[in-house]
Amino acid sequence: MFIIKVIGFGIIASTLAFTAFLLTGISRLERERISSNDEDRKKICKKCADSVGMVNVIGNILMILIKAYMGIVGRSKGLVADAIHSGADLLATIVMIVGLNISDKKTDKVYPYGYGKAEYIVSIFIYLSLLFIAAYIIYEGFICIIKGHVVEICWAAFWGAFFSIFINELMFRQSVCAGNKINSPSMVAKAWESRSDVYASIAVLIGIFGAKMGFHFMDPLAAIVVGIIIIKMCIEEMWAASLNLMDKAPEESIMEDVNNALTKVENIIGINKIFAREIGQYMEFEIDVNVSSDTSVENGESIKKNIKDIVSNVLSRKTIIKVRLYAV
Amino acid sequence: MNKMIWFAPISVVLFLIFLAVMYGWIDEIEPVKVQEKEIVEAKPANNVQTFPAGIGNNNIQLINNPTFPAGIGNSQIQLINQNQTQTQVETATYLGLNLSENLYVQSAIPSSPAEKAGIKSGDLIFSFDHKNITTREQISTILQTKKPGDTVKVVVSRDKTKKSFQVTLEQSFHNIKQIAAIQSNRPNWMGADIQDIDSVMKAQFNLPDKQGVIISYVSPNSPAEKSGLSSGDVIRRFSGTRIRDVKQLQKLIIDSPAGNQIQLTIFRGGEYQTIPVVLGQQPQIADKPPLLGPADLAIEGSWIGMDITELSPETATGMGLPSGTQGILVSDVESPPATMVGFQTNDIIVAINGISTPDMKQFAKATENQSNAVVDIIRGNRHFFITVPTPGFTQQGTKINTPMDNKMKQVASNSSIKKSVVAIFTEGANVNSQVGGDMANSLIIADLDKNSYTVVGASPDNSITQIMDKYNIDAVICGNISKQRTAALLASNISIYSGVTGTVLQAIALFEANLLVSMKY
Repeated sequence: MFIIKVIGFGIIASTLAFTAFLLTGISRLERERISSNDEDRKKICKKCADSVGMVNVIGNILMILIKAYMGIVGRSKGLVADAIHSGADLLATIVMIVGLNISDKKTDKVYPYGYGKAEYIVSIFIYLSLLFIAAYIIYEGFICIIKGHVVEICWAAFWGAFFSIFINELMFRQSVCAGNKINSPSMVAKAWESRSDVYASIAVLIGIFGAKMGFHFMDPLAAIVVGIIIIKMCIEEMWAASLNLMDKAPEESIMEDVNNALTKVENIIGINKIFAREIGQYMEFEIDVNVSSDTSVENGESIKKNIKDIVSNVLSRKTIIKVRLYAV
Repeated sequence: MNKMIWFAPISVVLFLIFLAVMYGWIDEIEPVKVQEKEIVEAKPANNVQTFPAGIGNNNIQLINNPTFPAGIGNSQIQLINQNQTQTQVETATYLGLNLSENLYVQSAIPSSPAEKAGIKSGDLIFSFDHKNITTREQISTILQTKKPGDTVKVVVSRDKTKKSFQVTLEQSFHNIKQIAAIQSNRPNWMGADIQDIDSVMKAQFNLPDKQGVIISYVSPNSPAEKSGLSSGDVIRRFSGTRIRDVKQLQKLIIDSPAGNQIQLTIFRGGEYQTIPVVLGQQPQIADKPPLLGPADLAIEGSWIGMDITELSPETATGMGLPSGTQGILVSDVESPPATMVGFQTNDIIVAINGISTPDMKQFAKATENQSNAVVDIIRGNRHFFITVPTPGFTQQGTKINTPMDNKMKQVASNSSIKKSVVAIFTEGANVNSQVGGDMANSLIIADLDKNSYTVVGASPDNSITQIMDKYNIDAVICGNISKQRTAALLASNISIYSGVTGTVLQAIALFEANLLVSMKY
């Protein structure tokens, strides 16, 4: 019991410290920004934006820990389910990092096309296990409601939910502000995406309040809602991974961009076809273009190089481009 | 690529699985609830009229009808008193001296506070707690004002010189039998806890009959363990002598010389086996920490009328149990049937019907759909079986004719507030059996002066009145009693305490604490 208390104290203390750090850090940067000139302002915003990644990782881990601890100690099923939900989000980030690592592995004789697709298999397995956990959450929640178990929830659960929402909101504000200032729409989009996690936490908060008011079924109900959110997330991720395994073509907009860029290339008569697929962190293109029959090999090679440069400039990610020339 | 990267997703997945397990666990464990004590209300008149008014109503059935018309022989009072004494008896202080009438120490009970302080037999007590004393009663009166843990100065005369001792009082043992066991087991030791067999045990262990005694626990490194005896074995014969009950076997063990090899015929798994056992000496009994219950207990559940909680390691060490002991702690014994079958506060339930109960979940499983049960408990340093009968039956199942046993057995009692000879009607033939009605088979006669008791079987040529005269009995304790017998007893100036429930030991404890209400004209 002593160890549990020590762990709990550690989690609570680090959560409070993190919150205080975020609040003071942001307000300090804000004061500096206002009192400095334009040149320095950009630097300060850059510094702030650089810290976003680290702050999000630490914040998410702390959120999971405080929800798990407060959920178990405060006996709120909803909050524990929410902790699992946040854990699933963290898992997505980790799978991405692991995928990056796998993709970096050099191609060999056994796998001449590289290890890019391994990421999808890993993610399918992980989300499959999460799917079971989510199903278990929903099942247990229903059992709890049907059997009418009365779980006396402690206010600790409320504070857990409250702090996780508070930290989430702080991190959102920081990401959006930094993303707008350094002109990074992807950072803003990510911030909005992670803000949607708050809805689950709000449901849990309502559940805790309901249970405190005497409607004991509301906490498991919140857990079921969270379970459904997790299942939805798992199915989406697994669907995306299997589509990529099936070499689905990328979105229309990307293909159009590439097509438009190719029309600007000199010495091309026409575009025969453009195929593209995802291989882990890379996007592979197969581009067939028509050139006049009197093109020399030297010219042909320069055309190929041209096309590769242009296409890789259009996309802001790693690409593998294979170009074939057809004489007309 | 370093392989360490795999630890990240795997550890997160494991953590999530842990969370999922916790998620399921949250509502499994019963929440801590404030237990509401049942208030016994007087029932309306229709219930009252079934009882003929008057003394000694033998229609009284305590188990089924805990409410009674007000009046004489009111068992409701006794029940309430019993609840009160539960705490009183527990907090009773324990000195551990057998004193003669003229204040000579006859014996100091081994490992008792008095013995630890250095008081020996033959000492003459002068003063106790800075007061000169002349009678035993004075010591009892002083003891009543003390708490366990208090230190008392005792001045004695030994070999014509005065000596003083500081005695730190301990909490009283619950059980006369335990002290008796400690005393009697010293010279010769087998290392197995034994009990009489009742019908619930017979059913649970699949025995053909109730003959012999059953082993409830085998101490580690004891002769019994070395020779291969195990819990659940039934001892039928001791070197050819047929075993009838626990007392007989205990006597046989004590009487046979140490180091002697004896042959035990046991019944195990439907077969008879003969096992040689070399009796040994019991090793020095380790100093027992006082049996103090933990200060604040979270009541985690209730079962057959008692509050139970999971035994935490701290509590286990606090109670002086071996490390690693797991079980369910009885935190309060409130109502029948738990009070009836002999559970006590601080008992630790380790198994039910052979299913071990290390935690609440296992306990819930083990008690699910159980109509009768043999419960393996640890009390003090001993293992017991306590049987929980199917509702509506006694522990004995049917009434059995216990053989006559007139041997007086010396036991120690830790308090002697009131002096008298008491007769208790009982269902069984030992002090742990239930108090019965006056039609019961056996009669236990306890001499509270001499701290001894005897079991007398009732038979036609040994009528109750004769026994009463023979043993010079002052009081009778029983579950119920007929009018005729009441009249006869009252005529010979014997006080009657009717409507008492629980075991004989509990009844004696109540009687000594002056908490029973006697019948009057």
